[in-house]
Amino acid sequence: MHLAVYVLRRLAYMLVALFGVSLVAFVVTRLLPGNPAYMIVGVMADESTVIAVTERLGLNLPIHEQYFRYIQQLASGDLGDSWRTRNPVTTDIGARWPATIELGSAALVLALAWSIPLGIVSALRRRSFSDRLANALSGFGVSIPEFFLGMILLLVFFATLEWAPPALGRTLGDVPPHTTGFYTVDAILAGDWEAFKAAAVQMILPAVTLAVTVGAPMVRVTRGFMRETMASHHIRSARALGVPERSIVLRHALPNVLLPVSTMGAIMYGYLLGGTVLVEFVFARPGIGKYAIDSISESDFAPVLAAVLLSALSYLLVYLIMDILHFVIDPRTRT
Amino acid sequence: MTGRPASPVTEDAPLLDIESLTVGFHTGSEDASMPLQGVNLRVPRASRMSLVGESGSGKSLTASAVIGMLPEGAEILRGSIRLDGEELIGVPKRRMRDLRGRQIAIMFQNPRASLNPVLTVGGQIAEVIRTHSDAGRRESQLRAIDLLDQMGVPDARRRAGDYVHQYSGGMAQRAALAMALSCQPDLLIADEPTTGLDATLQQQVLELVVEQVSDRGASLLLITHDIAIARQTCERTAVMYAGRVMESGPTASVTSSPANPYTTALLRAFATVDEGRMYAIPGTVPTLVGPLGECPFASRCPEVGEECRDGVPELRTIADREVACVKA
Amino acid sequence: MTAGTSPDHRTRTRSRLGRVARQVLRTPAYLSIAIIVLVALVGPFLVRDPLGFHGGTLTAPSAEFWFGTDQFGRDIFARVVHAARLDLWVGLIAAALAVVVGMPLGALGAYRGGAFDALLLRVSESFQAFPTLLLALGIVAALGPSIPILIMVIAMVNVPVYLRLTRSAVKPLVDSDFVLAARCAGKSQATILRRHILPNVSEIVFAQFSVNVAWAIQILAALSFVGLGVKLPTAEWGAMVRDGIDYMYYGQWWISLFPGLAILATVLTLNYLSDEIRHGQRGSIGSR
Repeated sequence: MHLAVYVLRRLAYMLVALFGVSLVAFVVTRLLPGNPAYMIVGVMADESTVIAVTERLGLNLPIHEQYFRYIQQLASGDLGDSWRTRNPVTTDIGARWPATIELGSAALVLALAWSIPLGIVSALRRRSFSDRLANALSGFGVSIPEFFLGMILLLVFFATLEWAPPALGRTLGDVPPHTTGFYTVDAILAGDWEAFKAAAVQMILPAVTLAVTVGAPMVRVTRGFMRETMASHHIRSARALGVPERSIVLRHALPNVLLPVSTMGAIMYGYLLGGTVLVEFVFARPGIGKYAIDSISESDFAPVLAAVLLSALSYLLVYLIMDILHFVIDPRTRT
Repeated sequence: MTGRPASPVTEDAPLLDIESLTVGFHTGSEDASMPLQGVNLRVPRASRMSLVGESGSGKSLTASAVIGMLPEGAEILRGSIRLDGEELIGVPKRRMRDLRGRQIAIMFQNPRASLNPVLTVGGQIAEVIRTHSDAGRRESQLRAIDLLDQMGVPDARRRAGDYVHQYSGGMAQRAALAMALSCQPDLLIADEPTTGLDATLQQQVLELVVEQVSDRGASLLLITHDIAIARQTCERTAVMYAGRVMESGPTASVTSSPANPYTTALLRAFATVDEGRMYAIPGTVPTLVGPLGECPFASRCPEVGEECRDGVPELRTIADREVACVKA
Repeated sequence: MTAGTSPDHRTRTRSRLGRVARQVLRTPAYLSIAIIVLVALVGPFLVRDPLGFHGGTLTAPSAEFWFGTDQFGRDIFARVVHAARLDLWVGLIAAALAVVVGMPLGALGAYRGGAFDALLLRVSESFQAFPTLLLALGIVAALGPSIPILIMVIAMVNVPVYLRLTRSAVKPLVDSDFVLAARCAGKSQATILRRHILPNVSEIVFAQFSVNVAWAIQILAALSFVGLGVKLPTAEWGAMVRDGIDYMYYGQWWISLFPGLAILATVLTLNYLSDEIRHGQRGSIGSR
């Protein structure tokens, strides 16, 4: 199949999925209690002001027309306004998404760094120490709630050992000049070592928390695929012709394992980029997840919808990119 | 020739000499199975030997033992395997790896699965070449192309860069053969190499294997369940049953005048398939738990007598062959 | 003592029971799930009132209050035990609902194929793209946090799991010979699905069930933790962790720690239980 056709078809699927997500999310947010008009103008406002605002927002229209209006808005890049922050949602998200991306990327790198090697090593030696370690760590990481792990880390490293700073946002030092929005990257660009340290140190514990919970299933998946591959005919065949073990593992088995594992990594990254509500909540990091939860509890429609769409979009997009990469890399899809 | 045992290797000593090879599975429970019960098999130099038997008779397991790749849980309990005079049982891993590919090579059934899907076919062959020689990347690649060409892969230069999914079944088997023969092994073990190929392709691949092995002066150990294939390709045949060799000798005489009732039964089963009728050997294969106390075929043998129950018959040399039957 | 064969039969039954009992005792996953269920069933009758003031706020764990007391002087041990019943119930019912909805849908999709199957697949894919927690949070916020709503929401996000699982397990069976034979015998679609196909996938679903109860408990805890789950002052593990968050780093760590550990222990047990069930199935298939 041609790459272009493949990509187009995948994009079409993606649009359908996004459409579904937006529809469900729209209906759900419209069911949130409270009339946003009151929240905008305040409960003390007179009737006519409320009616005017209600009409301006289109809240008096039937729900399908409201949805249609929303889609039209969306097409022109307008995500609506948050009455809570009194900003356009695009502005709010522009300020918060970098925090999420920064944390998510750090967490993904950490997760890959521990889970894939452990998964591979444990697959090679059944019932060895590394196999047991992989079992214990992945079982623990899959089972512990993110928010609880974050709190335990804070209890140990902040409250008890006093190695970590309190969980108060993205940095306790200077905010580096805005270039990318990622504090750590901006600090390096500005050559400000102190600012980098202050931002990085705020990121360590949340990143570790996510790396544990995201890495745990990856250990299992990696180990599973590695075991399967090592038992395959072609590995047996290569062994039978004297190919050294090093090459068996690194050259023959690893590519077969990394292809499916990278898909899993992409799914995880998509999830991380969509905002990790619980970890951002525990560490008071102003990212997309925190933004969404704060908005939900105050019936602030537009940000919730935007966060849901953004989350779905980043998941679908990362997944798509990974699929296209596979399509290009994996010889089996070539004909 | 350093590192080899000092035992004199004479010209007529067999290339592969398996003696009383016994393999057991330690399953944890007391009823551990013993799928190989003292296999005796000799493959002379520059010859073609087939190992024939029903599935479960232990032919593939014998091959796995020779290349030192028994499945997990299996263990050699007794016996010896000598290749070119060198004992392979207990040989250091490093030495074994060195022997694999260079002195013994094996090709498995299902060639598609035995080539790595994400590496190019040529690249895989070249890697085996580099493993056993000091050829560089370029040279090994050229030799791989040359090998593919010798095996009759058309447009070998281009096909070497292809992946196995782009090969047809017959081509994949040719590529697998090229890989197995890439380092001039003395012994090629082919484990059911034509299973899954249609009759025409099967014929072509078998002819190719015979031709290539003979050209290189190597020996072939062909494992098959099909006596017709053995007859076509190999001058010698060994018949296995229940983890033992029942009869071995020149293929023509083994298949025309079998000396062991089991061989007779097996031949009859095949002959009737050709005629469109079915003949099944009555009874079932004995479960191989621990050593047997009688001839393994005794319970199914039409010619069974009291003396068959007295112990497991040893392989005896009778005229041009070896037979494990007290009645022969 | 009915017939002559009964003693023989009885000893066999007894030895089988004995084997099951020994198996349970030897397998940590079975043993600890038994303990957790026991605590959830019997525990609430044995401990203090989970809502009552028992003297002394924020007292550290002691012989009297094993897990200490919280800022309202409530016995944390009593609350953890009571919450066990709630969390397990919600988890069980939500996961069961998800099976009841997802399994037949998935089977039907695989069996019927065509547009219906494609639609199911698209919908469940869309669901996959959905941020699960945000979706659950939104619905709970919209409909109000009551236990039935929570159960429904948690069940809903679990449905696609069973849908896909059943669908992929049924798909290869649909073209299998025995289903073809049943079809040729003129059996109805419903009969074929019920009698021939679903029994074959129920083992896989059963192993998954344990995982989903665990997941349901995690979602419930997460919802309560961010304040959109169980209403205060009901004892629920996630809500209790939330209760203690302001005290956690300033000396009174026990308020959050024990309910958190309860979640961890329960979820860990359920996950290992699933592994154990899967192992058992593989064992029985191997020995067949």
